Amino acid sequence: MIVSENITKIYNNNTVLEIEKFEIKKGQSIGLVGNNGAGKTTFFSLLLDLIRPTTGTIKNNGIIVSESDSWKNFTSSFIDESFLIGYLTPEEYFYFIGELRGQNKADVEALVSQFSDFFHDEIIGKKKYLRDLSKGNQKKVGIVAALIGNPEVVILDEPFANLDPTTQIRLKEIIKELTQNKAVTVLVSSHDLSHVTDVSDRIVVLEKGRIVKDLETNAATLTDLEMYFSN
Amino acid sequence: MFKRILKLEWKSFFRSANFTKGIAIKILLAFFAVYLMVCFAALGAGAYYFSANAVPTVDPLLTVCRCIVIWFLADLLIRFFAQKLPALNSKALMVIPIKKKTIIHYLLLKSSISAFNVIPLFFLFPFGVALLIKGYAVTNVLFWVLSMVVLVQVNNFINFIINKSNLFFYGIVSLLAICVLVEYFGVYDVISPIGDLYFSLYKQPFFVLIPLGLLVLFYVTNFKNFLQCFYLDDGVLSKKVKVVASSEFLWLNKFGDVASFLKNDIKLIWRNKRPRMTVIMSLAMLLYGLLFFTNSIYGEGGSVMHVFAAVFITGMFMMNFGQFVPAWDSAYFNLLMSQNISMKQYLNSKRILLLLSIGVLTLLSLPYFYFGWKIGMLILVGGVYNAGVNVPALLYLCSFNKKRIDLEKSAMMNYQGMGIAQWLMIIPMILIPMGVFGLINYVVSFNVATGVLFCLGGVGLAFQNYIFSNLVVVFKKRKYEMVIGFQQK
Repeated sequence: MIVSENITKIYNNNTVLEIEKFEIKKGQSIGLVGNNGAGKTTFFSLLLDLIRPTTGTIKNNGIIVSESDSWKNFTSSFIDESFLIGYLTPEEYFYFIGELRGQNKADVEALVSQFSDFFHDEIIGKKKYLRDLSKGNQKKVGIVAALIGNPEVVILDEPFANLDPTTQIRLKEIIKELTQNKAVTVLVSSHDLSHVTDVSDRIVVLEKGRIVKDLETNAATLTDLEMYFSN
Repeated sequence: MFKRILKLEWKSFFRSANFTKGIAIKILLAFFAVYLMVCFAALGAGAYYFSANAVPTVDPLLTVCRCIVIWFLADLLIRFFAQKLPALNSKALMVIPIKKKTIIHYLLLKSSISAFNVIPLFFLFPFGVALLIKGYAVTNVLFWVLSMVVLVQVNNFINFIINKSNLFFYGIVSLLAICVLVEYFGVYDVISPIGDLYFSLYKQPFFVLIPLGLLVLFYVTNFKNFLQCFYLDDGVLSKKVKVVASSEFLWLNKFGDVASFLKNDIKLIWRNKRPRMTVIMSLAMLLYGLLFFTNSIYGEGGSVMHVFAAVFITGMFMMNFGQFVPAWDSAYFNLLMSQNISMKQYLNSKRILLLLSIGVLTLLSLPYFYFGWKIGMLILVGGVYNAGVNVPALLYLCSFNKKRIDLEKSAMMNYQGMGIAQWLMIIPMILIPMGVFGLINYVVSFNVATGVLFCLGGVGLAFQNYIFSNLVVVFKKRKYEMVIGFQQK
């Protein structure tokens, strides 16, 4: 589904990302882990064509992301609060994203209603602008909005951070449901090793812009990762 | 402790991300400040002589005292809109061991050296010197000037009390209105008695204790107010969360694939302070035409200045809103760039919005036909020129925009988001139509000159699709710079 070749990103002679060959198959769920500055967000930004690679190309379903816009039809993402429109209410924001993704109001409402327990009665019908919600609630809105319109690729940057334990657990279920039919490719980055091994069937460890580990998830993965990061 | 806070402030000023970038604007602002100071100084130096000439029977100082009454009231109004308590990163300071009282004293003292309080000195000191030259008693003059300086500070602190609630504001406005009415209809002279009070500050130097007393009173009141509400969820540091109604704007659906953006833009405009101000300003500017069309110094029906007015009033929203086009969306630009939309749809929605605004403003300007068919024609032609030439030119210049805009900040004296594009805009917007019209009108005739402007607009409209697709290419190239620029606060 996603193929990146010879990707490097260099800022002022400082190489922040250098990945020779990286391939993600359709329906895989990938967990990206690494310490701060490892290049996780840089990789996502390259994938979303928000920044340009210094060398190399990324293909999303065969489309070179920097040359055509058509990958946007089936890709959705939530990176940070710069993906939220502060002066809309959550409902308006969902409808707006829905319209962009060819979903009518009823479609959006049907989807959003599945997340009522995820929202914990703090988001829908509160008559507040997004900018007036707490950071955690903003994040929930962004994550759910990224699920609107049956995307084939979902990219979530640190979705577990800032969420309360109940919501983290519920979010894991949501991501698992998303990937169980092997139709949706999910990319998640996280600092929480146990959550990310829970939801991913492949874990990629980045360090200083390079892939240092690429593991199929199994019972031993979490201990492996903990060993790796404690050194 | 004050020294440490000052050091922090110093660093925050010189290390702010846009310190070096905005240097051109800072220089311009500095010029503006110098200009104001010179004006005030000239006014101060000349005030004695003006008043002596204007009202020869009254002591000039007394005349000035009466004028100062109006000045202080106006000052209070301007402060209400423009002066805010100097911000300091209070949240970070709240939890470290600095006394609350120190922070509040610091904030209040910092406010008293704001431009609002410094610029009046440029009036008061030269005026004092003029008084001394004219042989007024030295001690009395010194104490009078001191009293006035203190009264300016009193205004400073009254403002923060007023700022806390609109009730105070409406109180002051109605008080002012009553004064003006009473004065105007000659029922009772309010200004003179207060002016006389100011004058008595000259006569009795020890009366300076009264303004000083007021100053202490208002300072302490402010201090107590802030001390009480120096919490995150209260007063100065918090913002009120309003309950809002969703709105749908279904009528915009007829614009097809760009409808969702248009709806969003309308919400953007109504729900955020700065874009809302641009709309209000555009409507207010419609009246600007009156100044040009009724005043004969701008020539009879159909002069170059009338072309300026016509382009200006029909294109006011286009210029005011349009100049910052992608920057309005800077807070969520990454979302728009990774969503299922093309740059073309996005830009097209902005273009339609600008064209709609020109249409509406042109319609609203039609009453100017009253001032003659020439002026009416110029307004229509101005609208067409704006739509055909200025909209594409503006959108092209917008591709250079890469400075973030905070939607919730006031538009008054707000230079955030300004860059080279905003200055270059003046050329196609104003200079070209005025030049073209002026030249042809002079050499040939009004009809031909108007016709040429109309044709320029018409050609732009005829080729708009071609121009537009090129614009999209330009924007796609600059997108990455915008993504980076809009992230920088």
